[in-house]
Amino acid sequence: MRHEKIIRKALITEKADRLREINVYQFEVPPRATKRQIKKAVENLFKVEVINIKTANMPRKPRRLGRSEGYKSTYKKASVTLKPGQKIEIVEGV
Amino acid sequence: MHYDIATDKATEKEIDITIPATELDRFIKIEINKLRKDLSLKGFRKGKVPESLIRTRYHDTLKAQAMNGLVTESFFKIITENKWRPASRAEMKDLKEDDEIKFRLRFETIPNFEIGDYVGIEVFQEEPLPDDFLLEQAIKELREQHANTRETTRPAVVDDFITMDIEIFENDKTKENKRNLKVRIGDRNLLDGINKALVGVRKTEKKQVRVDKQTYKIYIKKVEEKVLPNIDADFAKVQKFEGIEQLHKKLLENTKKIEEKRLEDTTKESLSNILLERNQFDVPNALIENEYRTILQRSNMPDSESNKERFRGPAEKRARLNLIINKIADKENIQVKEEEIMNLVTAMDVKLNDENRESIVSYIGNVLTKEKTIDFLYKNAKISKKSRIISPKEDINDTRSVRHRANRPG
Repeated sequence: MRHEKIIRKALITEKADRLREINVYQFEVPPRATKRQIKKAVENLFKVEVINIKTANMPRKPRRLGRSEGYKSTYKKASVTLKPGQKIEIVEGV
Repeated sequence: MHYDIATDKATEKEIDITIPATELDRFIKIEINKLRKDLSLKGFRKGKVPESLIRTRYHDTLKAQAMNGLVTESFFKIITENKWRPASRAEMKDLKEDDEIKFRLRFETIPNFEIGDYVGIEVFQEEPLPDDFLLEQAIKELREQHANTRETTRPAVVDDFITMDIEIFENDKTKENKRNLKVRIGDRNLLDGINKALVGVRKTEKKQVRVDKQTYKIYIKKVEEKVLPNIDADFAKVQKFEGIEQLHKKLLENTKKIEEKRLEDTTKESLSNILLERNQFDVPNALIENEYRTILQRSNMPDSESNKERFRGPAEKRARLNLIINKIADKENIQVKEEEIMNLVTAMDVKLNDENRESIVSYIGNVLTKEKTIDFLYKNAKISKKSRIISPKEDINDTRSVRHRANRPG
């Protein structure tokens, strides 16, 4: 799988913002992506060294559009710890 | 902040301002804090969005608002330091951003002028018209107010009422059809061609008039003349007066009040003209433009070159008079109480809300201050009475409708 297809987007939430202070970055990845694939993708895309990866399959959430009921597609959340001193410019500064 | 005065005219200033870029950051932080309180973004609780994210997402808006704050702060700092009173908004130009932010501000200021003597201004005031003449005028007006109409068979003259059917054609096609239209001959709202055509018509007569591209086919249904009532004891009783003397007394009382007010207003206008003549100075263009817009708005006229030429002079005078009056009000400490403003607001039946409150209260406050100051000038003026003698030459050109009876020709 291409690296760009693995790292769908960086998660920008209050929790992700807090984790960034301890050099942990959170990404949305496909549910079938493995830790090895995620590590490779992050290292190649952002030119950093990954020392730990934790993943979690996020629960699907029910959604309704009028009469039709369904679910919001599920995703895997990857928390990537980088080698101390390295960082990813996820959001550009002013 | 550092600034240099590039242009220093009486009513116009241009200032070159240099500010360190860190100052802009201070304003950006202020704007972020303002925005942060109410900002809700997905993934964050309300008010918890990090500063860095707000900076990235709203970079342009924040910068524009921060620039606005920076310009406003510098503008107020400069005008306070130099004791200038702004007459227009500051206009920013030549913006350069580097380690330092450089720009030029252009704005107009109210000129510093010394006001000439304004207490004890000598002014002439006309003698009031004699009572018998005023009463005669009032009776004339009253008769007109209570006039009736009566059908007549004679040819119609000016001021007669005509009831007619009218058909308007344009290019041989009916454009409009009006039945039982009642008009007065000589009414300014009527076309000149129609007014002329109606003079001399009789009942059942047919007329055809062509004005520009339109043809008017007229059928006269009725010609009515105006019948003025006699103002006598019977009329007085209908109007709930005991007798004709009481009616005359009331009429005279009212007319005298109107005449006194008219004389007072004319004298106040003369006082204003004297002040304008005595105090000549440059007026900021922004104030003239403001007065010009007010004149157009009140007379419901469009902005055009001819109107500009016509009203620029009066607008300049009005703006200058306002400045003079404000200066006098300051010197004499003439102030308007909140209660007086509110009384006028109630009398004018204006509904105040959060949006318009400030502007309306300030506008009415200005109007009342102006009124009070002119009253002050009037009370302190040296008024000499002048009888209304009209020379034969002046009489020919005199277009006033009310004239001193003793001097009327014949």
